Amino acid sequence: MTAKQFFKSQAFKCIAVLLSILLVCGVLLTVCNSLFYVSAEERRARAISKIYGETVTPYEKPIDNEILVVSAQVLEVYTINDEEEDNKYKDDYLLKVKGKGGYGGGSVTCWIRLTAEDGGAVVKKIVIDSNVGQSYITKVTSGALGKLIGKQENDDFTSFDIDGIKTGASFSMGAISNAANAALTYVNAQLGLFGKYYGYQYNDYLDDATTVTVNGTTVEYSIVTKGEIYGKFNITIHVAPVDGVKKITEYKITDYGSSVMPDKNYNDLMSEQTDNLNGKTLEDIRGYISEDSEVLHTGATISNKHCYYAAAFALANYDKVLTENAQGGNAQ
Amino acid sequence: MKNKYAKITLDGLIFNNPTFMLVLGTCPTLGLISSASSAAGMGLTVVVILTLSNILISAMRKIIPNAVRIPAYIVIIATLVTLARMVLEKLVPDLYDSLGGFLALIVVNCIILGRAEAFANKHNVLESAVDGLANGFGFTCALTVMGIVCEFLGNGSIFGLKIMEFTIGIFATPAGSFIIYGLSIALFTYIMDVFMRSRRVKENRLARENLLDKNPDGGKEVAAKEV
Repeated sequence: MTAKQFFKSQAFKCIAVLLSILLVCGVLLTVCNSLFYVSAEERRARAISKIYGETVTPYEKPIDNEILVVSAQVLEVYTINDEEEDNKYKDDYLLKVKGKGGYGGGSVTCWIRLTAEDGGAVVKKIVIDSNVGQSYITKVTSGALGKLIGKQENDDFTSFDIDGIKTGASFSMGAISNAANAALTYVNAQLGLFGKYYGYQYNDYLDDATTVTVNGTTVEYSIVTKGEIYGKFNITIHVAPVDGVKKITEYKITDYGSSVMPDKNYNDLMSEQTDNLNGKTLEDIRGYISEDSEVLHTGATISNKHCYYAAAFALANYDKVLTENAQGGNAQ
Repeated sequence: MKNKYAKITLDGLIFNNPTFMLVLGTCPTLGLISSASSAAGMGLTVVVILTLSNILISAMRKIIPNAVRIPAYIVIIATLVTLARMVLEKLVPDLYDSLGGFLALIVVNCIILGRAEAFANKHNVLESAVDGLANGFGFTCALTVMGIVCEFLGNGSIFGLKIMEFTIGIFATPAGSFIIYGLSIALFTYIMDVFMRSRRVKENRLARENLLDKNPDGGKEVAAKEV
């Protein structure tokens, strides 16, 4: 076939027509994309206008990554109309939270408006921003989202027990529920209403400066106790499974909170075991801090309590910390 | 001439209704009729895309070679759907959110490709536009009616407006939509059957009367011959 024959052939006509259509469509879509592009700012403005129903000015706040949230990730935090003198939204927090645990491991990102009230933060409005892999998200109606309004952190809700809600999209609703719980935890922690270790066992004497890191199967706690009456203890505790049993593999008091006592050496008054709880299990510690135990009552009861409760906290929450770490929450 | 457009319109809306008579576009039908507003929104989006695709394909029917017509139609339809997505996301974000993944699936909607193949590539632009509008509105009406029934039974509301507290959960799911879809097809077919039968009876009676008017003794002659 010569070049002339090829250009006159039906095959060439087919290719030329298809390419022409593709070219025209491509150009058209490019132009329209630039015209109809929805920027992140526009999305945010839409969500905020849907939540407040009026024009408000959001002020972005830095995210406190130290606050642990479960099965969700706090993406953005705003307060409203900060510079207005008569600000009716002065107690409001607006959070963009990615709730995990949706269908097929997907997620739902929501805008959540919360208000700080006496008993803690309260959910006021939820608007869905986007989702990953949630094909039934349209079944989560405003009525379903309305069931979350008025909830507080200590309501301890999940998607499966919110007033018998049935959406047909339980997994997506679960991700939204996770986002709402995370937003409540975050705001409560910010408000100082609940410690950042709210929901953990044996957190009675724990300061929010405490940090937790996961290193393989070992959970490393750098515990700071509350400075009740005297100073704060700094304690390093490592917990790991030894022969299938969770034990303390390192317990070291790096800073004695009560050492400033002028008339007595409190280190001497503390329980002998307190300095080295290596190898102890949760059952051992529970025995030490039980009501009928005399171990704490050495004349340095409060110091003992702080140190034993730190050990109990480390052992009792080992699984929870590992789970949160696996779920990819803010807990790291 | 006027009769031709009336026929195209009635075919699309009723006699060849894409949802009830041709059972096309079943995927978005089952996925979206649990909410009346989503169903109506999907229907109206299809109206626009179907009409535009019919117009474009009809206008280009003499340019597009027969061998590559299907890929060409798909490219055109996909472009229109993408455009519709962009416009909806920008201008009607609530509808865009409520349609979810089904919006992108309009590309493979049998009604649109079906009308392009069956009608638009054989008729002129105006006829194709009317066909697109008629079929689109036929689809919209069917979806909206079923959406109202499903939402009422499944959520106790109509277009989001709460009517009653009593609900039957299954009708908020695709399984319930399937039941409503089946019952709607049965009811529509029954009504069409009754209508067509009565129309046939009427036509036969008119034909007989016309025959008798032309030949008043015809009946007696026939009777005499039979004897």
